[in-house]
Amino acid sequence: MDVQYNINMAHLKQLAPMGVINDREGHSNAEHYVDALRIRTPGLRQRARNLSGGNQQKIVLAKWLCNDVKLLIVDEPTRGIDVGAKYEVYELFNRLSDQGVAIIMISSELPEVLGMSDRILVVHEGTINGELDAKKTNQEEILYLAAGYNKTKKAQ
Amino acid sequence: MAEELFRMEGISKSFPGVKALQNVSFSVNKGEVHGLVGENGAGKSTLMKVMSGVYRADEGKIFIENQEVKIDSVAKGHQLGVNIIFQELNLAPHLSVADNIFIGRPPKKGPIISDRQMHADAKKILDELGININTHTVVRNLSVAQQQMVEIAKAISYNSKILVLDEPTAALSEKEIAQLFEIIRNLQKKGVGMVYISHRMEELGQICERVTVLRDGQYIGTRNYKDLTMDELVNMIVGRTLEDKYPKYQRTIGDVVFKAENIRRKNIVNVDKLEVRAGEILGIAGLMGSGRSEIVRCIFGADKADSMELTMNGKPIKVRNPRPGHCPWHWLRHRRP
Repeated sequence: MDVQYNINMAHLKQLAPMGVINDREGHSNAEHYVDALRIRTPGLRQRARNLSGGNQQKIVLAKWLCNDVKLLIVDEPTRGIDVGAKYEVYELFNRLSDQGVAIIMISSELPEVLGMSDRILVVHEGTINGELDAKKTNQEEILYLAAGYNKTKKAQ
Repeated sequence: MAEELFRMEGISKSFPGVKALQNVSFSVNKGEVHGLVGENGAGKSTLMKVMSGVYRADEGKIFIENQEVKIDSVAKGHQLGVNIIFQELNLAPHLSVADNIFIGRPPKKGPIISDRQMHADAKKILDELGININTHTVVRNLSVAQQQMVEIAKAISYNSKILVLDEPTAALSEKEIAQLFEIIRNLQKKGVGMVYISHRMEELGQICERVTVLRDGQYIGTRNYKDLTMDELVNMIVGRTLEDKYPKYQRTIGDVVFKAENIRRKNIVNVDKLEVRAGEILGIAGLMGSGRSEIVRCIFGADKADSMELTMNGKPIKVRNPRPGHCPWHWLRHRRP
């Protein structure tokens, strides 16, 4: 599917109030997000699979941003995208948070979690093993909790 | 001045979406152990795969003993004497040590495989390296360290001039590491050039003369290990500090927007409470498979939770399907970021 359709996919209802898609509205909407997220594509009619991984990732983000989000859950938002694109994604999250959007971000990259979050929940075996203030913690502490240490201590 | 054995110039390689290597140069001298370091994803493994013919570079030249060569397949790499020992060992566990060393090219007498010859040859190689393993042992019964040594012996049997060791000590004990280093020194004396990839800085000091640092696919520099302090090296590897890698931002955090309580799903997810405030980024960390994704999949409605109470802006909500927003119907009034 092309870039435009991918971006608009999640809110077709709004684009098609009478059951017919308003293509002009969809086009301007898609154009806006391609601009805002700096998605590098030859055109809105380009097929998404022909884009690079990072740009595909941005399209996915655009798709969910179309809606008036209050809560955004992202799982490994920067996997497989290069450093420059990562930075753009981070900036985007910051702008969103500015607008009062709450973001839950899962990440395997500890520096990313530390660098971006306000609070960090550490999960171990399906339960939350600890909550940390991102500004006062470090990688060791997270790993410690991720390995389930706190819990075993309590159990004893 | 040491004699140059292997040189790569201006190597670039990209994969869809990622520039894995950009204009990287690298060289190994005869009898040298050259350390290659960098963060995960810096391009070390890619560079070594280009070197050994697993990948083909988009740009760049490779020279062996000042002759330009094209390594376009692993077989060609073998032929030219470039061998790589991967982190994950590539041995057939049910075959004997000698079988593994000569796999795919057993010594023959006429059309018939000479088992005796093979074991004799294998023993000779192992002895030369100072490895004490019976060639008849089935590989499965060897320790990881011994298996690694068999890998090295196998690589040597191809008449390797250049040997790449990708994190060879990751699974070894102190004593085994000492043994491995002994073998590496033996090889050095024979003039084999080696590339040593490792995350352990102390090891590099013990064994390497020069160190090359890669970062984000770019060549950062080659230094003599002796002239480097640990701080300098770490700086080269990491490059920026954490602060510049993430945009600095002062967030204003509001009230609790979303609350999830008592999320249970079989024995996979077991969370008492999770809250997010407006304008807040809540990070979720944990090891692979710890249930991070499963928790949010429940919240999102992609997995069915056994029990779960969600509150959005103080009002209880229910999710059945992953539908955008779970938010009330609205017309095209985007909050456009």
